[in-house]
Amino acid sequence: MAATLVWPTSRGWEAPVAPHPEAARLGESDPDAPLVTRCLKGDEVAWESLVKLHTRRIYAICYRFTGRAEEAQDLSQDVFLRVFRNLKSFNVGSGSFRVWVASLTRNLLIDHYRRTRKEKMVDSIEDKLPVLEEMETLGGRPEGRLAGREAGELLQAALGRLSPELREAVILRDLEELEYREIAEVLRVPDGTVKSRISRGRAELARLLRKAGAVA
Amino acid sequence: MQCAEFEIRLCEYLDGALAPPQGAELERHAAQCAVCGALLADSRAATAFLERVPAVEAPPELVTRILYRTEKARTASWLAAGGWRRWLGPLLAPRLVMGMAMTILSFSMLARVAGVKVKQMEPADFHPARVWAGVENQAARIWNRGLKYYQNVRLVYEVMGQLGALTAAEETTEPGSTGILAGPDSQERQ
Repeated sequence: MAATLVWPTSRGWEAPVAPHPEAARLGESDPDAPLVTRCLKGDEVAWESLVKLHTRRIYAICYRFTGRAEEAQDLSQDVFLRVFRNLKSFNVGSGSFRVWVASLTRNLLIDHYRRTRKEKMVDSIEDKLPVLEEMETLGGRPEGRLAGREAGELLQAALGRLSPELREAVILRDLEELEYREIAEVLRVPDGTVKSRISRGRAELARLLRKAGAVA
Repeated sequence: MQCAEFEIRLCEYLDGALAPPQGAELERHAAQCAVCGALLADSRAATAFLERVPAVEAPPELVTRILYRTEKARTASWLAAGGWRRWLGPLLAPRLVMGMAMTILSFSMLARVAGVKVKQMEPADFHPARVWAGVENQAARIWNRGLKYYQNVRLVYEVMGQLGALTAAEETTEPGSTGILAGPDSQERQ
């Protein structure tokens, strides 16, 4: 199911592509493989370890994408529920578990984005004003004096204004530090498209942050 | 170098993964093309900013919530998959079910013959106070019945004992008619 989802882009609806050619290589060196194998045998302790190991990253992706802690928590729970139900379909050795979970998360975020898009479009005009005001207030200070928390809030406000396809590419690369081929596997697009999206996403982000005075 | 290629190579350049000749070519293009030059400057600024942003930490209770939800899902799928049949399977063997049915039938017939009245159960009958009162009542009845039975048996034994004693006394006085059953004639004869 995960592989058949399509994503709206500036060029229209993008057709799903075949699994990344390097997916099998990623799976061979998967550090999660022993835990996944134990989970498939019904080992509850292994499942708990797997959840503990991936919760922070999944929550971070959800939070950076939605910008809301409550939503991110609900989505993280949904992701793990989906992982739990579909773990049998994950082929140990043919792909990385980390990438597989990231793909499930991304698909869930797409579903969530589509579901809440109308609602957010209605709210967007009202939302924009406080976000911009907040960005200006926070960003009015010299760059070097921005505390980590404030930088995080500024980034969140700017990410919220990026298009979803650029946002997810930047989140996966710059915040979750996935490799390009892993991102290509998650997004099911060629490596070149991933790099192009990351470059455009970074540039767009810099423009938004500059408007707020956060970067020179 | 084309602008589209520049956009792709830029990531590797900022990662420091581009070979020096290719890096120099990219820099030359950025110097000649205003759009790509701005893209390079913006990308540098964004990566520098992103490095300062702290990692997002998940709330501590999230792991517990996830484990709770997956545990619920595990139980639901176990029930849906008929896991309970594996446990109750041996009990549901036709021979055993038939045996249980016959036992229940036998007990119900015995109860009917014994005059036990079966009344319709209501939810209120399962209230602990009511159950306890019922048990207490039944215990008192059984005790009273047992006591009465014992007293009746004792009385019967006492009566029978007295009768036995009288019979024995009569038998010992019979030959000489001196017993208490001897009539007035026998006294006259003496």
